Amino acid sequence: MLSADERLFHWINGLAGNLAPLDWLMKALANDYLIPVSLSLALLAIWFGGRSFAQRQRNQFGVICAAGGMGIADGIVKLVNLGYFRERPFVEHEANLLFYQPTDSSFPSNIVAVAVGIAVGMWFYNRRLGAYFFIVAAMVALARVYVGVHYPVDVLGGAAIGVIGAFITLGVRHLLAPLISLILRLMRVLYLA
Amino acid sequence: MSGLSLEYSVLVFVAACGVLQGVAAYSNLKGLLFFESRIMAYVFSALAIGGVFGWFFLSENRNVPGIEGREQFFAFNSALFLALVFTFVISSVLRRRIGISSRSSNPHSEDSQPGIGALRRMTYFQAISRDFGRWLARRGR
Repeated sequence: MLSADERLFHWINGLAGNLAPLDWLMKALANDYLIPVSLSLALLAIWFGGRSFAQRQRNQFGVICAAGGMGIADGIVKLVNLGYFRERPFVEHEANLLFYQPTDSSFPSNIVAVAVGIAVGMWFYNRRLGAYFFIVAAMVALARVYVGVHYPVDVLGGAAIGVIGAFITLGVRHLLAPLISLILRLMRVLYLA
Repeated sequence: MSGLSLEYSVLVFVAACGVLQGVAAYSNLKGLLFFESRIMAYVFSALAIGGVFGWFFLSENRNVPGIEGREQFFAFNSALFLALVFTFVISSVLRRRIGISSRSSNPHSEDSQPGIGALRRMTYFQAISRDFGRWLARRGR
């Protein structure tokens, strides 16, 4: 008897292998480097972007919050992995695997946690950019199930951890405000902020 | 450093140089541009980002077990740091004749203060040397 999670996995993963361009796109989105590097470079652009001091400062707080959300989400995933291991779907089921075979825990999805942590962290400061990042994170989540390396619950768990990471960052932001201001002032002296 | 790790670092370095040129053109940070023309900066940015992503992802199958998380973090930040240094040095050399006379005489304007905004009217080296000069002048008083 399959759980709803497993049934949904089979439905999404069952689409793989039917349309070569869609497979190519999903493999690209699920890649370990493409989206993390693209999102990080987008944060670099946002950091330096802005046509006024106020806009740039707001952008830089957004990048700090996004980077904090990403870092805390990554840390939570590592903590969860210490105490819980779930086999990958291709180990337990017949799956259309379009990816290499990862050996770490399927739950939670680290790449989705990181992408959602960035998206929500940015959303606190810039709703439009945060929404774009969230769309990218959702596409990555779908792609990871499509290529057969995660169950839907794994990516939902990753997304929840990303949201938690971003909210923790937002919560401690006020406590760390003096430190963040000091770092920004030092970076301004070096013309990096 | 493995071959993949090195190629990953090249990807980040070239793409970050492209991003910095694109964003400098958008934000009118003339002191960071390699070219006088902003259009050329956008073209350079698109070619650098598109070219290096194409090279990295199309030259080989990259859906393989690869760089471990910590190594990826180190490679990304090292490449990003080098891209920043490269951009500061090259733009400071190529744009050394940037119009000094066009700098604002208002001491409270953004380009008179430390920070990225100053790079609208001067190069990185000019900004650093201006601050060093001010610091020497304060010490001399």
